[in-house]
Amino acid sequence: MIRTILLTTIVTAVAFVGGCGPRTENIDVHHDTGPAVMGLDYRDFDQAAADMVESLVRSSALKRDRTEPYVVTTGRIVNDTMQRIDTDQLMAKVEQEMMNSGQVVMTSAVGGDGPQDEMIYQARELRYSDEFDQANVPEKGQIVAPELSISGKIIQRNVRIDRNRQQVEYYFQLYLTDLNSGLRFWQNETFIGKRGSSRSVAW
Amino acid sequence: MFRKVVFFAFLASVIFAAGCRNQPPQSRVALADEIRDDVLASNIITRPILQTTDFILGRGMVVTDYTRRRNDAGFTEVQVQGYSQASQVLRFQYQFEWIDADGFVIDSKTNVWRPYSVTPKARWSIRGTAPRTEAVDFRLKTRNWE
Repeated sequence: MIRTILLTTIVTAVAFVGGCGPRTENIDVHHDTGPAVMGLDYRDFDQAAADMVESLVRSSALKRDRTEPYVVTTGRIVNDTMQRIDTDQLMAKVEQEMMNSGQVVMTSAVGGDGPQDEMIYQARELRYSDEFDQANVPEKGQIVAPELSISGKIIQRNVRIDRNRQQVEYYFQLYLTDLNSGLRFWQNETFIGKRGSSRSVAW
Repeated sequence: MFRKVVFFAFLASVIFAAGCRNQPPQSRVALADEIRDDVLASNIITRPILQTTDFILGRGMVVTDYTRRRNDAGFTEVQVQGYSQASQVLRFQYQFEWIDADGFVIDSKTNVWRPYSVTPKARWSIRGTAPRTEAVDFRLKTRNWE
């Protein structure tokens, strides 16, 4: 009898505790009311990318008296923060908007971390192979070289305010360089700052 | 009796001054209450009363105008202007929506909520640039900065 009561009590307690746990829910990305975090979340990347693209479009740096768009590659984007950041989180948005603006075409053939798509070169290794119909194999001299390169850096600075509070500063910097002349056509820095408990870990 | 008259006269002048403050600031320079010359509308005695009045009346931002142009690359730029009637810094978020000639909202990664803050009793302007050359119109949404 005692065993049965004990078992029932434990099962009830476990079920009660389980029911009280935080509920999993999808983020409403259009009206996200979630609290800010000391690290970088998707809202920060969205804001930084939007600021960058707007600055570039506003600058008219890509305006030229020709009808075809610029060929652009992404160079090195340095992650100088304490967090493990895939810089594509920022650059994928920037590249997408630049292409959609109609002013540029991105190349996957060359990039700061190697080609975006290795298949460009693997497909060329099929030349002179008797196993492949050569009609679809890319000919020599077909890859279009980039004219402009985007490079940049994400910087983090931690500043201690007092024993209980800290300030974390993030700087997003992008540069657009003409590969032919080496001249920089455009650059922009977006700042995102956060202040909170020093117990929060910003990495 | 005399005290009552003085008190009501003072109260009426404060309310009158508060009403005057409802006008857009004419000067190009917005001096904060704490650093400019004391006037009846904002001296060290009446300031808390006016701030309370502003708070009770729920005074906030007013939009007065917007200007639009096409930049050299063919993108629409807009600048929405107004002034703040509030006695404290107003913090909020805004988002531009860009609309093409067919009335469709242009889907863009730049349509995000951005933080903004407005100086008390000062003019403000928010600037936006369309992400596509097809944009011909815009909408500006705001929400509280939580």
